[in-house]
Amino acid sequence: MKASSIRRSPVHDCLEDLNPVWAEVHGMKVSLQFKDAATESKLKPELSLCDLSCLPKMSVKGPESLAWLAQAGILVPESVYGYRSMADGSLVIRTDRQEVFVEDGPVSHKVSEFERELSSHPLGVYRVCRQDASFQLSGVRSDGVLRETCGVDFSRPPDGVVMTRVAGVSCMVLPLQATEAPAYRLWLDPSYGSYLWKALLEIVRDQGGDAVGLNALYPSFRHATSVKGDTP
Amino acid sequence: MHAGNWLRPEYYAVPGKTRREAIAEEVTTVRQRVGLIDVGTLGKLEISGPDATAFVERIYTGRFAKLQPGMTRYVLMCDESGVIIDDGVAARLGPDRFYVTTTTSGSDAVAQEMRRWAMVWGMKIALVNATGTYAAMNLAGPDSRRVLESLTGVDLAPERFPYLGVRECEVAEITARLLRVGFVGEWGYEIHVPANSAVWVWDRLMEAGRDFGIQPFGVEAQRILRLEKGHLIIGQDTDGLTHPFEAGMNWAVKMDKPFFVGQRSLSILSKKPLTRTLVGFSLPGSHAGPIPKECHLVIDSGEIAGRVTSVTWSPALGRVIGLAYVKPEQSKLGSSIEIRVDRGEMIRATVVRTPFYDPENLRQTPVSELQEVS
Repeated sequence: MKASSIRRSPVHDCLEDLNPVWAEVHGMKVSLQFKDAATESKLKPELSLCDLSCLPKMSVKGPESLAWLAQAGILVPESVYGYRSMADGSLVIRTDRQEVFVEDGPVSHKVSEFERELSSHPLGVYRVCRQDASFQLSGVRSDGVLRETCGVDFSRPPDGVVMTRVAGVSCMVLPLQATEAPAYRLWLDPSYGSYLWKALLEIVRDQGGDAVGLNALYPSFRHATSVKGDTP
Repeated sequence: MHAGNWLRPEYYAVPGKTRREAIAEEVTTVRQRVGLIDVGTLGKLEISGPDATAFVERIYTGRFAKLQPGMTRYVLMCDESGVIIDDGVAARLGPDRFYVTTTTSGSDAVAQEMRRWAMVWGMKIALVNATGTYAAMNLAGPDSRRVLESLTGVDLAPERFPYLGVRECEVAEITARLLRVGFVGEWGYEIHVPANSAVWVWDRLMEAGRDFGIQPFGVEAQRILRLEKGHLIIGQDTDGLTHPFEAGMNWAVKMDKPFFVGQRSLSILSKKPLTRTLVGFSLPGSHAGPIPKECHLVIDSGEIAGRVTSVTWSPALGRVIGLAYVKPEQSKLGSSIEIRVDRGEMIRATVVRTPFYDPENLRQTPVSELQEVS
């Protein structure tokens, strides 16, 4: 059996400075909350920033990748940059003609299953390890944060992901549909994680928002069985 | 210290020791016991697909078609004018899968160039710039094998995991790529792991190495170690005009291949006399005057003949060693060259053979084999 908390968020040190309540999700120490639950619940629809780097992710690439995923029960979006939220909380994004990005939700385990199946290197399907830092910017004022940091006009959100730069860092940005308030997922090279977290959090705070923990985004999650540790 | 876009540890400060003493201790640790350095800044590219081998053959100057899965080879990359632009190691993970390292800060430019060539040639490859995805650390020194064997199930016996081998395995429970390479000139392993598990693996290696006196070492110690071994740093020991023949890298260029980028220019250059050549030099062990610095000029009959590209005090040899470009006629072993140091003072150095340290590469040879030949 594997030891616990092997994985470490690219922004772990930034989170630690905020003195959060920690738990372990997918083998990574995560911030469940920084402030009391009521305060964070209020922040989320207004303006908040949350680290979701704990969610396992991978890409599947190659001429047979779409067929392989179809066999595995994944319906890949028809258009490049299209995305699909799965019932188990995982996310599927078509990042290129022959490349699909898959990210687990807090309790799903698709990525580890796929990694196991792809370890035999089936012809025409290539597993791409992904270690992106991943954040969620939420709330009615989140557009304002992106207006300050990104050249894309998100007031008319595209239907799918956008490859762009946020505060000078190459990012994949997904405006989430069907959420109470506007919300954006961001993925980026983990080497730039701390820099972008600090840059975004400074602007978020300037605009009256703050960092929130995983509980604010997944209210039902605190009871999930995969959460271990110092739960509030 | 800054290294391109990265911040890297120059050395690890030790209370009561000067910077120079701390660096010297790190060097000694690697030469005599075992050290660990973060080399995550190396560029890391994954090249897969039915045309992967043909693509690597075309991009790099060496030969790769017969490289067996499980083995690595040094790679040198030139532009179309034959100028050296990058180097690294290509690890063949499978018949159609390569994992290639690039210089620190070189990965974006190399990946961009590879994408361009893949389109021009219409080759079926999948290219991933995995530089930020994988952390990498180099466990180096005579005790490195004993440290690592407690953390992996891979058989590290040299007859099953030879020098320049690569293995996909687990280290400290983490999926890893192990490359048995020797940039610092000692028995060692580059350990590449997913970035979010890097701290975990680093800590386990430091724990496992405690009984062997392991120490982390920084970029300054690495620079000394690699220079003793005579390994070049592209961009420091080469410039925007350097071609492989003047850098003494003919061995890495296979002119008889059907094609590689820069081959046509190198073919023309190979027929022309060299105008400069990179040599190793050393000062006498008794030298007490000023020491040359990088970019100090080599002077011949009052004229600029070249420049120093790397220089350091070598703990292993007990004297100052370096690399410098000189006129071809000055490159004969034993030749005396003049270097103009600070304040215009001239000092004399001798052209010597490289590698300065372990020229027979015995440090990569198993002890049992050494005993057999001795």
